[in-house]
Amino acid sequence: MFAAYKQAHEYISKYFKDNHPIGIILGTGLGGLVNEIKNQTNIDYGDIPNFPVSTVETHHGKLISGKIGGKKIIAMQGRFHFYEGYSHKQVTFPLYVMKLMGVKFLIVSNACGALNPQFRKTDLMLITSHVNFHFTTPLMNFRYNATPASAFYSKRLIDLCSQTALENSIGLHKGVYLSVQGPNLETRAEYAMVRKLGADVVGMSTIPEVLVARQLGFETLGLSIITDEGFPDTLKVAVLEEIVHAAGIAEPRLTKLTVKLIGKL
Amino acid sequence: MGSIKERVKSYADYIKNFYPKNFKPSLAVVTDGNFVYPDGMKFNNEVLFSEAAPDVISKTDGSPKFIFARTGNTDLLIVKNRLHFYNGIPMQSIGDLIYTLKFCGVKKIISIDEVGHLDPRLDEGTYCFVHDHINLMGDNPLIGPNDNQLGVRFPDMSDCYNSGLLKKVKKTVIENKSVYSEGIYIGILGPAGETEAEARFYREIGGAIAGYSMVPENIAAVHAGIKFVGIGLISRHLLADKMAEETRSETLIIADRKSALKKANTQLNKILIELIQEL
Repeated sequence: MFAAYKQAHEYISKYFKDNHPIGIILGTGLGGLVNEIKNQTNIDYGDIPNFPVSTVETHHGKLISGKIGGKKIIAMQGRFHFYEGYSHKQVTFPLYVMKLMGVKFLIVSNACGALNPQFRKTDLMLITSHVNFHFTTPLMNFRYNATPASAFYSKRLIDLCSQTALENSIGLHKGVYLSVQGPNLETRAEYAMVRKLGADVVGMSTIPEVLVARQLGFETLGLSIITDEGFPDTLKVAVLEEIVHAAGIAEPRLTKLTVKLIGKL
Repeated sequence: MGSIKERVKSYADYIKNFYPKNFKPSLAVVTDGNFVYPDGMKFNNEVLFSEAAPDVISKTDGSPKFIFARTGNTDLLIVKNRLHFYNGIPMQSIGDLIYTLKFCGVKKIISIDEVGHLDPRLDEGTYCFVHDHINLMGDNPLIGPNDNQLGVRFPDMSDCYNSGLLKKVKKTVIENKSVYSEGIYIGILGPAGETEAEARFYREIGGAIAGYSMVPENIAAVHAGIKFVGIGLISRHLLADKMAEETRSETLIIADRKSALKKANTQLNKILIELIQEL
């Protein structure tokens, strides 16, 4: 596996020079962040040896290098999901390449459904912990030599982000993210179950990346955009357009929060 | 990705070649191989799924049988000896079977599965309708690229056991002076039996019954726009405290299960034809 990461990194290094301390996975809600990246150059996933290719319509498929707040960042515009048929190893391939590029901080975002009845569509949530319901892990036979980070979601970054949100009058919940396999949305019984298990929001991504990020020693920050409500007693039929619309409303806030946060890293 | 549709349509076209004259089924009944169908059903010919789809299942591995049947004025497609995930059949194959039904013209599926009951108010030897499920199988037929010609990428599951059909079912059952029960079905892997701790867990998360086969069928059906009615034949209990005090021998447990399944089957057959005609 290591040879595959190295190959990809070698190709990328021809176009992206220097150390990139900050890695960002532009999940749903962070798409607008692309406009904040200065001096950007990008590479299509398809051109990178061994890189998986994105199949979901709302994800693009480019690796972007540039600067935010004067800091070098490497961003994935388009991520991979377990429900597309990728293994967890494939989903998390780019993180190993990020490690080789010098990444120390990882910011990852996602869209999710609210389980906590105090949350509403278009709210933002900072992930404090997660529950893995993929029934699999990317860490089987993990051989990479690195010191794991002490937490899945860095306490320091959680505090920093909360502070940043406060300073910028951006409302920010904190809570537990649970990931199901998808791609089907959850049944009422499933929403009730995952709430009972302690989750505040439910989605289909992020956890595989976070598991690897911790093993690679990244300080990780997880941000969720709530795009729909999974309250079992009042469950409405989910419409993809409405979900995308809700993400669009939350995006400017999340983008601003992320830019301000990066300035403090 | 048009390939799934092309594939399953070819399976359906093969099967439709064997249709009796004027046969237009819009309803399918999916059961295990040991299900006994009610008297009053007329069976015409049948064809093995392994003939239509040799890449999916071979005859020796236990192929489902498509039986062309009729009851009263209703044509129906019977799928006997369903595909089971616990036999190592990939989820995609179970999906293929359901999608094949779609291209056979089916708009509604009645899926009858053997279950254990977690709700102490239910009983072995009876049947229970499913109004929702929890998927604990760790897999589903939709993982992989989506074929937009079959269904959307992110199917909504808020009404996966069609509430309109369930209303009709309830009315029919009550009019026939039978007991109407419904509950949440927990989809688990099997085939090994459940532990007490697992029984407690499944109950805790809201389960009334638990089985091994209905969930992937439901997910594929919802994806393909087929309305779904689920019925559990209760053959055993999964009451944790009772399991802790189990004194029966393994042979006796199996024998009891078999006889309870038969009893539930017989009970269901009292209203099954009525149900089929009402839906």
